[in-house]
Formats: sequence, structure tokens, C-alpha cells
Amino acid sequence: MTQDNRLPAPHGLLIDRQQTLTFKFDGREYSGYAGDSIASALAANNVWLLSRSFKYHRPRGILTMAGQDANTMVQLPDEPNVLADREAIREGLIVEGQNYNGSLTNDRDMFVQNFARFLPVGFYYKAFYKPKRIWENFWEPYFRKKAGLGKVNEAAQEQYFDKKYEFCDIAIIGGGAAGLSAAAAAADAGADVILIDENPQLGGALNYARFDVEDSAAAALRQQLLDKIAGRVRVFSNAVCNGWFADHYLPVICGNRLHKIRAKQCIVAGGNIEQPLVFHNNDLPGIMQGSAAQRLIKLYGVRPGSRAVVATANSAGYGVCLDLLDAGVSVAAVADLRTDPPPHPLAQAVAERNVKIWHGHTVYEATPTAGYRHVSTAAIRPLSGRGTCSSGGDTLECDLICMSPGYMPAWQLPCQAGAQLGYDDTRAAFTLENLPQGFALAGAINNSTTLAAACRDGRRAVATLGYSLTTENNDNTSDEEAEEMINTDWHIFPHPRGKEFVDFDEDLQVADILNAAADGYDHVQLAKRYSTAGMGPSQGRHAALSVARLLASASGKSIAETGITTARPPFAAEKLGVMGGRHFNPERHTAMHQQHIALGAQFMPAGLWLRPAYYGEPHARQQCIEKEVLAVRNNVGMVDVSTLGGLEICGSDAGEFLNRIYTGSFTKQAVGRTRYVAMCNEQGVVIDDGVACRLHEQHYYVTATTSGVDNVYRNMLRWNAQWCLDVDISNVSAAWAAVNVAGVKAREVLQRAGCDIDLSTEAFSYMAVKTATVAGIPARLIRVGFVGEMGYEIHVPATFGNALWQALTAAGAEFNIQPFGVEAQRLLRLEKAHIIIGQDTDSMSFPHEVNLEWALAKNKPFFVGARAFEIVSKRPLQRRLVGFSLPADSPKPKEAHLVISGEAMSGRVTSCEYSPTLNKIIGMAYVTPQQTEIGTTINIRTDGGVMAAAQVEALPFYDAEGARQKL
Amino acid sequence: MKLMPCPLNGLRNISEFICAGELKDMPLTTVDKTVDDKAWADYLFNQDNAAGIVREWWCHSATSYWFIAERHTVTDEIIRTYPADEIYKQRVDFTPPPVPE
Amino acid sequence: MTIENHHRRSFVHPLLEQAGAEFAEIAGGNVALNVGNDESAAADIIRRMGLVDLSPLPRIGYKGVGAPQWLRQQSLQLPLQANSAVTQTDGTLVAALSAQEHLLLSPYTVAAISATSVGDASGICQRVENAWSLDSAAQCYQLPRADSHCWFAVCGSSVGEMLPKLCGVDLRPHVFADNAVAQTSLARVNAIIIRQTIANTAVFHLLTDSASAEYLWRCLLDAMAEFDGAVVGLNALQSLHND
Repeated sequence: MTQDNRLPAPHGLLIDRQQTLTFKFDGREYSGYAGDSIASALAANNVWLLSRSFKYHRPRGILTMAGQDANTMVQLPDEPNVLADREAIREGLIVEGQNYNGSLTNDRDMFVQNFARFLPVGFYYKAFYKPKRIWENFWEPYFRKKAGLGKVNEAAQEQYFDKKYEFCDIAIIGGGAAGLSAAAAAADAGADVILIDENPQLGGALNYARFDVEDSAAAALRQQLLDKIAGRVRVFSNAVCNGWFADHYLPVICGNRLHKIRAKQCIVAGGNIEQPLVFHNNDLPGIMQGSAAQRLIKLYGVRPGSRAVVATANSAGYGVCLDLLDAGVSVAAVADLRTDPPPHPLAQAVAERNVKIWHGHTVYEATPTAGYRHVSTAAIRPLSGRGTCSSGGDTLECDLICMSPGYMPAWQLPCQAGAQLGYDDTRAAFTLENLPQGFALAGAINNSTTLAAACRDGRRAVATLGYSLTTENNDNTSDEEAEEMINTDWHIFPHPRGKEFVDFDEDLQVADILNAAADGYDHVQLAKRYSTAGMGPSQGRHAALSVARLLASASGKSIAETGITTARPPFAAEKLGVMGGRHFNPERHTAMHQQHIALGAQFMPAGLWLRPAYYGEPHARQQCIEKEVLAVRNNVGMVDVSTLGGLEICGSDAGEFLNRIYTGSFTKQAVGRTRYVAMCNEQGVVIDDGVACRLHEQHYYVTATTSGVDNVYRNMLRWNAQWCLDVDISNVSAAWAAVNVAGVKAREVLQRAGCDIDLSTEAFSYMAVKTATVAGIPARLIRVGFVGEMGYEIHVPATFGNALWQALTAAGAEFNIQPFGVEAQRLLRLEKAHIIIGQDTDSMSFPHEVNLEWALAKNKPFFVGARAFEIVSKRPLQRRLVGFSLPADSPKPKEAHLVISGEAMSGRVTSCEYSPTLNKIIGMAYVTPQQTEIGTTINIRTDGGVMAAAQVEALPFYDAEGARQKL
Repeated sequence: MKLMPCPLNGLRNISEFICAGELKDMPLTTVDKTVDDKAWADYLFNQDNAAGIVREWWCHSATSYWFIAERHTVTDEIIRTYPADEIYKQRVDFTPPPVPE
Repeated sequence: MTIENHHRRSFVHPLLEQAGAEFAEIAGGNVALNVGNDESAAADIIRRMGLVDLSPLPRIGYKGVGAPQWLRQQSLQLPLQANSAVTQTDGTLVAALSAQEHLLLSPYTVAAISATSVGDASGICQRVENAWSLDSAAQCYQLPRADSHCWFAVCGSSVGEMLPKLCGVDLRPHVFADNAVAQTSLARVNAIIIRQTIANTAVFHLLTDSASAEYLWRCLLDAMAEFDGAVVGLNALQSLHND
């Protein structure tokens, strides 16, 4: 295809005519230039129809050329809802239209618009709810299909996204005249500045708008300002600042990277958003904002049409007119909504070029070509009142209507920062007031619209942030230009046949907004939710002014009182990948991790840790676990328990501190002995447990649960911040690697590995702790019995953890030592009925419910949770943890299966496994106090509703006297 | 994201911190073990939830450093932060339980 | 068997092995001197974007009301403020993590290490560790920093651009000068960050949870990729002193 609409240089600032690119749209091949957006390249090829509207499937084309509307949303192979006026073309790119039935040019669903009067606002709430379930079964799926946006390609390749922090003194958002001027002044004043602009090239309106008849001022000023900031300001181009968050935290999206900018202060120079004129058929392709036509001409060198009508209410419209003429577009007429506008050089120049100017007129309606594919005529009518026209005027053939009736300041970021939106009736424009600390506005957003005013305002903004300006800040812009009024007070022209679109995203017409008000939803927030105005992809950018004026008029309130709806972040659409960034999922490994891998361990998460669940192939899981269990019971096994929490409690009050923190009594604990510890929270609920080893009068080494230790440590620190005891608390969990060697041959293994202390029962009894060396490695040895066999927990510095495992493996080889994992360990401790906090307890488990009364010291003045437990223990017991068993061939209950009594549930299972040692199924469950007696039958509902009748058993299931662990 | 001035580490993103709620005086430490059940339950479960400046426990998680922040619950303004020992200066001891007769 | 049979092993030892590291025993630890690059390439990398594992080298911590006084009694010069560090004459770095908590990092260049024979009692870390006991050092408690924390150094001209991808603290030199210490979160892992400059090359010491060492190592390599960063050995760090 040829690019028939392409204009010669110097038009086309962003394109590189040396690089031709071909791409496909809707099945046909087109060519464009590097730097083209999809929309500009298609326009160069005279393709104007880009999408179908949301509700009525009307053809839509370029509206803003600034990514501020949903008209240009297209489908890429891996990405839906791409804005064609922002996305650059690439060689071989395949672009499709969205939301049509049939083809983009012939959409079978366009008949819907003929039924518009049956689809009034709020129709979701009024229809489709009878008969019952018709909404979810029929209408919702139907509408989702018809009103769908793009399609997600689930096979799309994952892209790399990441995030990065940036820091600066002043972040300036918007790189137009005001933003550049502010950046230059701030850099002069010594500030560290980041300048953020969403466009490929700095300059904002200086790149495309016309400020003087000769069209030379903007380019000169742009160059002058760029020279001033060169090398002194960090510039983020093609970067969207998507929100303002507390303390000037700005998410700025640049490609696949999210910059998290922390600024000390902010200047928003985000400019104005041009608003559409509201008239019959104002959505036809070929009808666009004046600034959109200028962007096509100046940025992309694309002629936006051949014969134009310009509707305006300010001098900018005349600038558009001159640009059109210079681009070879004939201008049939200018309709100026103002009856008696002040003289302006641009208007004068237009008049001198023999363009017919209709003062006090508007474009009242447009007519389409066949299939509504393009505009074909514009009817110009004289204004007879607010929003009404009388007969007269003229109907002109045209293929382009440019709309420039007024602007909204880009209110989103300032409002997020806490600014309030007001309305200046004399200027018919919204204003932003009550700016927060360290926040300033500059330029058009602050009603400074001429070049000189914008530059001055940029400098003023820097001064308001507390910087003193140097004299070199002057530029050559004159102060003589008068500020002009850029808005008219009314730009909406209701039509008997409707289709005067207020919100293009949501296909909302004037009547829809008025009907919402008439239905009682006249508050702007209610009207938004009822009508969906401003809820589409452009978030009200081009609808806010019209909605505010219509609602104010319908409710009799002022526009200031009516206001507009909250503009929450994100400012522009953002990808989930951008929010996700890189996958920062910390994973903790013990020092023996490589050994476990080599042994074929299957890992399971335990908090952030990875622990071996069992060793062997997943298909043989059960056999592996049983083999590991039996090895410990009958021979010897070793398990990596490095993930246990470890805390050092030191100081003259260490024992007193433990007395307060844990339920037991520790001041009289002998050095060299260990004690079980249980911790309650202030509500008396059991939240952690472990073992306290007294290594010195003033030193305890206390273990805590793997997932609980960080919280335990923090709680300890906070308590002592209040108690001021002479105690020092350290979390040394990662510093110690630990292996539990358990089984009748544990002592022999240790002796074989080389241990420099007497390991005999007499010298080193159950529940004792000693420091020693094992295989030459300094170690703390603890005789504990979590798995119920003679066992030594060997704690060594983490850097020697790997060496310890290797030494024990070597020493254990002649005894057939069996490494075992978490699964076997859990089963072994279940046989011993040792509870696991968080598995056998929940957030309501009191000590007496889980058989820990024995661990409560009675004669202490205080421990955390004691007072609450005292209250709770006076009440009747609600439930208690008991052991139960079932024959080996019974259906096996799982954790959380319910205990059923009659029709009611009377408890639940917390742990349950088949025990190869005992050859039966064993478990623990909460039951009612009436069900606790040994021999009681409890009924457990297992998978599929199958009931299992279990017998309550005495705990523990194995070695009730505890003889084996004391060997 | 808000910034929190940590007395130890300076201004940091508030995501580095954990808030543990308002400071409360434990009745036991001020009176004795005779505090009644109702008063204890009130201490455990009820919050003042004042609209205004409150004193809260905050912890900088990287250093496990606890401090106190005065924060306005209406404006979310952090008025002041300071080490806990500005308030907790004295060693706290608990009254031993009465010896059974 | 005796302790001499076992050398301290880095938490990323297997990753260094895979990368072709050449190890040497220094001060009781297996330290990677070179990692898969020739000397001049490594010297170039470390000036641009290099990652060095210092985990096997000695380091220790002291904490408690009496810790500052006891450390001064051991002839150590302590930083004047929390979250700053001061280098001792032998190259040992002492960082104050709070008014009552200090971290000692042994000298980390081959030259400095051999000059002071870190492994024996003439190295400050070892000397202090030998001198300490619960009974002799009142209200001063020892922290096993060599085991609780891994120790990496990231170096070079791009390091200031790389770290903000992992860390939310402003580490630019005018805000975070030499010998500044930050205790913060690095790729969601708690970290102690210390800045130094060796012969115009920025060196950031990163001390984080030893169990998360492999995770963090991979995060760092990923963040360094856009700057063509690579793992280098202790010899490359040494080469900075030749400037």
C-alpha cells in the first residue's frame, strides 16, 4: 500500500522516512515509517476505522492521538487492548481490530444501535433479572461476549518485567514548556531533578500546537529549553507517571520497567486535556480533537483529511486551522461558538486566508458515509441559547471535523495528592486548589496557557518549593501576550435523534446522563456508577467536563458543587507484569541442601525454608516414609533440623525473662539441663514451643518453631522494651545447622564420628545439653526425644553444617543410618503424641485443651497469658485433643476431617497417619469433653462422606513410659 | 508509599515496618493481681480507637527495632517517633502470688 | 578427626564450584580466588560490575549494654554513630548497627589477610573472639555473624544503578557516603549494606541471612545482567589496590 496521506518534511518530527516498516492490520498489509504509531501509519494509508464501540458497535477512529481514548484499542497477538495511537509499529507486526462480529468494516452487531432506546442507562439494574437465574445463565455471558474487549492469549510468552527505585529532589511530571522551564530553573537552583514525560520526545504542545502565525515560536523555545536542561536533568521519556502516593512516591512505567520514584517534592506540569464538542454523530471516524489533527500533521506527517470543518471556542482552533491549511487540507469553515471573540493574530491570519468563519455557530450534527464509516457532512447552525440552535447556517461536505471547544486540566495526579478541584465560572474552567506540601503545578494545568505564561509558571513553581531562582533563569519569551479564555461555558448540543456522545468509551449520550439524574442519581459519584460514565479505559478524560456540566444543569447545583469523580491510580492502563515485576520469592536452604538433593530428597516448604519431605521417588512416597520410620524405630536415622528457630537469651535476668515469656519455670533449671517450653499469647492461647537449654547461669539457648521464631523473637524484644530486664535476646536461627541422630544406634554413630565427651546415659542423660566437638566440629549436643528414640540433636555453626552431615553419613554407614524427612518425623512424633504448634493447635487452643497443663508453672507471679488462662480455666472445657486409632484397613481420615456426633460436628482431626510401627491408623482430634474417655467411639467423616468409627486411645501411642528415649 | 522516620535507621519506606497497635498499660503492672476479669478482658480485647493523636508500637523489621510513633489517625500524619525507653524507663516487676495459707 | 579437617564453607559454595571457581584456604575458610575469568578480564569486570563472595572470611558481632566498652578495651576504634563504620589500621571494618551492637568484618583482600594472618590470633576478629567469654565481658554478648550472615561484595561503576533494582534505600554517594551502613531489605531479605571506596571503585558489602544466600546470589546475578556483571574472585578485589 502507498502512504497517500503522507506529508513531506519538515512535517513528521517523530518518523524516520529512511526506515520503511510493513505490518498487517485486519488482514491487510500496510507500510509505515519507523516512529509511526499504529494509528498514524494507518491514517497515512487512509485507514481511519480502528475499532468498534463498546455498546453499539459503531465505527470509531482517531479521537485524541494522545492515548486518551478507547477508540484506538486494537488487538496484538500477545496483547489485547493496545492503544493504536501510542503503540509504535514494528516490522511484521500483526494488528487486529477488537469487539466486532464479522469484520471490522462490516460488523453484524451494529444493529444494536437501533435499539438504543431499549438500552437506557442502568438497564442492567432494570431488566434481565426475571425469570430467576436468567442473568447469570444467559444475559451475562451474552453481554460479556458482545461487549468484550480484546482477547488474552494464554499461550503468550512470559516477558521480563522489573522494578527500580529512583530518588530525586524534585520530580517534574510533564515535559512541555512549563515542565522544561521548571526543570531548567530547578537545575539552576541546584536541585536534583527527574523530568517525566509520556511522549517519545520532550516538548509537549511545543511539538505540535501552533502558538504564532509564523509557527516558529514553539520550536525555538523548545530548543532553547532543551539546551538548558541538557545533561543536568534526568529525563524519562515514553514514561507514564501512573499515580501519586504518599510522600511523593511515584510509579513511573517505562516499557517493561516500573520506576519507583521517591521525590522530595513534585511539580505537575501535565497540561490540559482537550475536550470533545458534543453533537449528533460526533463519534464518526474523521471527527477528532483539533490537537489530534495537529499531532498527525506535525508529529507523523500525516494529512488528517482533505476538506475540514473546525469547531472551536478559543484561539487554539485557529491554530489548528492554519496547520490544516499548511498541510494542504482545505478548510470549508470555522464554526466559532463565541459570538464576539476578542481579536487574536491566529484568527486574523485565518480570515486573511479566506476561510469562512461563522461566529456564534457550532457544528450541530454530522452525517456519515455508508455504514457510518466516515464523516461526510457537517451542519453548522447558529446558537439560539445554551445547547440549542436555530435554523440557518450551512451544511458542508467534509471528511474531517476538528473539535476545539475547551479543556480540562489534567486533574488526576494533583487530586490524588490531595488537591481540590474547583470551578472558575468567569473562565468556565476547572481549577486545582489546596495543593499539599511540597507539591506545585505549572503551565496549562495551572491556567497558564501562553508560552510566556507557561515558562514563567514553571519558574514560579520551583520558587514555591523553596528554591531561590537565579537571574539566568530568564528566557526570551515576552510577557506581552494576554492570557486568554480557553473554554466556552457550554459545549453540549442535545439532538432529537441522540447519538451526541458524552463518553465515547461507554457509548453514553446526553440523554443517558440526564436520565441518570432523573432517576435520582444526580450526585456525580452515583451518576458514574449508574451510567458508567468515566468508567471506561479513558477514565473520564474526555467525558468529565460534559458530565459535570450536564449534572450541574440537571440538579440545579453549581459545577463546583457537582465536581467530578475521584481519579484513582493508575492514570493509564498498566500490565499485571509491570505490577508483578521480578519474582522475589526468598527461599531458605539449610547448609546440607546439596546433600539432600544428592540423596534424592523431595522437598516441601516450611515457612521460607525448603525441607526434605522424604527421600526417594514420588511414586513410592508411602514406602519411602515407612522405610524411614522403621529405620528410626529399629535402627538409626538422621534428620536435618537446621530450620528450627534458635534464640540466645543472655544476661543476669535471662531466667527471669524466660519465666515471664514461657509458661514453665526456668530460674531453677540447672546448667546443662534442657526443659520443654510452651509460649502463650496474652489471650492464653498456645502459640509456640521448643526447648530451653541452659548453657551458663546467664545463658539459655532456646529453640522455637521454624515458622514461629521471627514472631517469637520480635515479641520477646517488645516485652523487654517494656520490662527493662537485664537480658539480651538474639535470633541465631540461621547461624546453627542441626542434625538429630535418633534410634538405638545413635550413640554408636556419634562415637564412630568422633565425639570428645562421654556419651553414656550416666554421663549424658535424657534432657541434658553439653558442648562438645563432633567429628572435630564445635557443637551443642542436646538429648531430646521428639521422635521417641534415643537421640542427639547436634547443633553446629552453619558453615560446618555440610561437613557435619558428611561426617555423620560416613560414620553411620556401617550402621545403615537412614536419612529421614519431615514426613517420617511427623509420623514418629505422632506416635509419641507430641503436638505440632499450628497443626494440632489453632488460634483458639488453650493449654488444657492440648494437654499442656503440666507445662504451666503454678507459682510464678506472672507469665504472658497466665491471667487470661486463669479466667478461661474457670469455665467449662469446650474441647480437648485426644488420640484415636483405627484398623489399618479402615478408611483413613485426613487433617481437618470432622468428628460427627448425631447430626452435629463435635470435633475435627488435626493429625492422622498410618503407623507402620503399630500397624494401625493413629491420629489426634479435638473432641467434646464427653468423648475423651479411653475407649469411646468417635465417628469421623472421611473423604466421600464415608464414616469411620475410631476408638479414643491413651496417649502416647508408642512407648508410654518413654523408656526408649532415655536409653 | 508513606515514609516512616525510624529513630535508629532514619526515613524508610513504611513497608519496612510492622505496626503492633496502640500502647496499652497492662493492669497487672500498675495495680496487682487483684484486677478483675472484666478489667482484664477490657485490656485484652478493647482498643480506644481514638480519632486523634495515638501512640503506637512500630518495629523496623530488618533490625527488629521497636520504637514508638505518635500518629494522627485522621490525617495519618506521623507526628513524632522515639525510642521506647523514653516511656519505659523503669524495670517492671510483678507481685508474687499470695502464699497459700 | 580434628577441626583442621573442615574448612568453613561458603553458603554459595556449590554455585561457585559450578562457575569454575579456584579455591584456596584462607583463615580457615575455602575462599574463591578466581572464578572462571582470567586475571585481566576479572580486573575489568570488578571495575564495572563484579560480585565477590567473602562469606568464608571471619566476622563476628557483639551486642549488649556493655559491648561498646568491652570492644574499646580490646583496643578497637568504634564508629561515633549508629549505622556507620570505621576501618581499623589492619583493615578490619567495625560497623555500628546500633549504639550497643557492633559487627566486625575481617580484612578482605589477600594482601591484608596475609599481612595480619587472620587465621591466627593476630587478626582482630580472632583475637577478640579468643578474648571474649560470658564471664569476662560484662553485659557483652557474642553474635555468630560468620554463620548467621553471608557476606557478598558488589563492586564497580554500575553498582549504583544495579542496587536500586533490589533495594529501596537511596544509596547514592552524596546521601550514602563511604562507611555509611544501611540495615534494610534487599530483594525481600533483611540486609546490612556498607559502602566503601577502593581506589575510586565503589564497593558495597552486603550481609544477609545465610540461609537465603543462594536466593540472593541469583537475584544479584539477574540484576547485574544488564550491566554485563559477573562473579569474580578475591584476586579481582585485590587488583583494585593496584590502581
